[in-house]
Amino acid sequence: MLNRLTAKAATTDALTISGLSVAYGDKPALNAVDARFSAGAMSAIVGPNGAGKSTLLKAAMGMIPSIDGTVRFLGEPLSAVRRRVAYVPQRLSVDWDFPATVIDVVLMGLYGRLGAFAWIGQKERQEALACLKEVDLDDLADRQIGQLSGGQQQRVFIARALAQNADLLILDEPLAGVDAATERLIVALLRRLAGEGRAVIAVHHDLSTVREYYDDVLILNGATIANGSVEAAFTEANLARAYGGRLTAGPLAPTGARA
Amino acid sequence: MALYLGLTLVPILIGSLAAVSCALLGNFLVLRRQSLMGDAISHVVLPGIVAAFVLTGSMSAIPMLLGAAAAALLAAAMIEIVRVYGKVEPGAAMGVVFTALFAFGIVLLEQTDTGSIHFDVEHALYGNLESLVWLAGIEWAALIDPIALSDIPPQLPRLAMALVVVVGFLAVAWRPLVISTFDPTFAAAAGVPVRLVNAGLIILVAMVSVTAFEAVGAIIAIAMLICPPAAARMMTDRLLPQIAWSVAFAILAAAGGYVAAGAGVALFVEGVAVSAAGMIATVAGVTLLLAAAFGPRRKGAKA
Repeated sequence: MLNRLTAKAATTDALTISGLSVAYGDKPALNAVDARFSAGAMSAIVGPNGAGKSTLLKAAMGMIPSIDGTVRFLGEPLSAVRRRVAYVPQRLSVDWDFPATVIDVVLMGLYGRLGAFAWIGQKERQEALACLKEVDLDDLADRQIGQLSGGQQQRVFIARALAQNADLLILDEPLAGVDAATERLIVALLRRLAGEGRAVIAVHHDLSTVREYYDDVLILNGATIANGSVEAAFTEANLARAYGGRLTAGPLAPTGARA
Repeated sequence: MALYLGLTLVPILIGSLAAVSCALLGNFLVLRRQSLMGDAISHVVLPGIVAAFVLTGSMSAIPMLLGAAAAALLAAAMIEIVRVYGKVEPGAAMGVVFTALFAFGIVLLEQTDTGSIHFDVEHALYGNLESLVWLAGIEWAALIDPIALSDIPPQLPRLAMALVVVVGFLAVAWRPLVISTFDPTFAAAAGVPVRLVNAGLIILVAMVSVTAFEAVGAIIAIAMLICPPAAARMMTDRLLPQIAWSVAFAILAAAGGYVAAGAGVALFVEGVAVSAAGMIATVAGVTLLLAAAFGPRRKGAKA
């Protein structure tokens, strides 16, 4: 798989968004957004609350309708490469009181490969357990998901994405509301995946850690403010344009948690 | 004892089939926080059922299902019209349309006094389980007598068919249904046919509401959609055991409710029996109450 990926990476981006526009009713949410994300890199999407970060990901994945624009995943339309793309929704978008165990959720990641009918046997359970080991949760495989802490729940979601064995991982706020140990674990894991040649794209909130965690960045505020390497794009001037007066102390200012 | 088969066992079986079909689907409605979907559907389908009855003069299943489907489509269109032109929030639009259609169904029902077939407002509201007896099946020998068998209330095979369809749907759509119930965003991204599964679930809820309404009434069917699964959720933290518990609770409510209502006796002694459907829903409600008070996995119980 890595061979295929490196061959492709030379010619195409992992995710290319061109002129993507979205409106909720008659209220515009995204205005002709252009963005490119490379394979083998870890990219952040940052922007103020209501900038359309989650909307951009959902519209790109076709989960909400867009007015205009084209999106290419690994150089293809999503339908052609769906199994190579893993999406991790916001942790609080699901009901964790659902009657399922940790390993049940991770096994959902095998849907793309197994489809609706293929039997889940010992081999698949071992695979899921290996993914749980990566996030240090293999001891809790049979625990009901509602009994986990927020950080542990986020790690279950990451393990499910690992089970998808995707070349492109898209994560909506993977570090929201997690403890410091979980944050370190998730970042190290994602960096390793990017190091293997995969593309990792994450909506990120803490501007103070962008330089440390990410290679590339998209600064968004309804439209593309800047997109490129952190070095080139993550500048005071660009952040001021995106956040306006709300950012008073430069990129080190803490930002409020997103609702 | 011989009276047992035709006068008690057959109505209990019909009630149980209806309750189990409702409860199976209800598990997913409750987990999706769409419990009131069953309520809404059972309100909306009434005018469709009555219209089908008026047009065809029979209570056979196919026209009724078509009528119910037409009414559901009409409701969806009306909700959209009220929402857009009435400038009210969706919840208000739904409340207005569901209630208006249900009221219209009742008025329509009052106007259709055909006399030949028993079908009136009470029938629609809480069914007529007591009348679904198998008079030819008084002796056990009737079970192998083709003439007696042909006299079995048609609701029995109809509800058995409905249960087969429900079980078949759950078996075929199990994995997509579970994934899209737990995490619809992930499901859509992973290529799970979320819309197809959602539509299948709602269509089956409508089908079961229509077939169950003859036995327990459109309104009492709601209790069967919600109470057994909600009670079952408090007994376990696993989905399959939850579904097994909900089936057990549904049968308990149907059989326990029917017996408690003394419905079998009512044919011979006036005034001692209460509505079987009402009693079934009451037993279901009491089960839920007990599960909420003592269930091992209720909120606040130590895990």
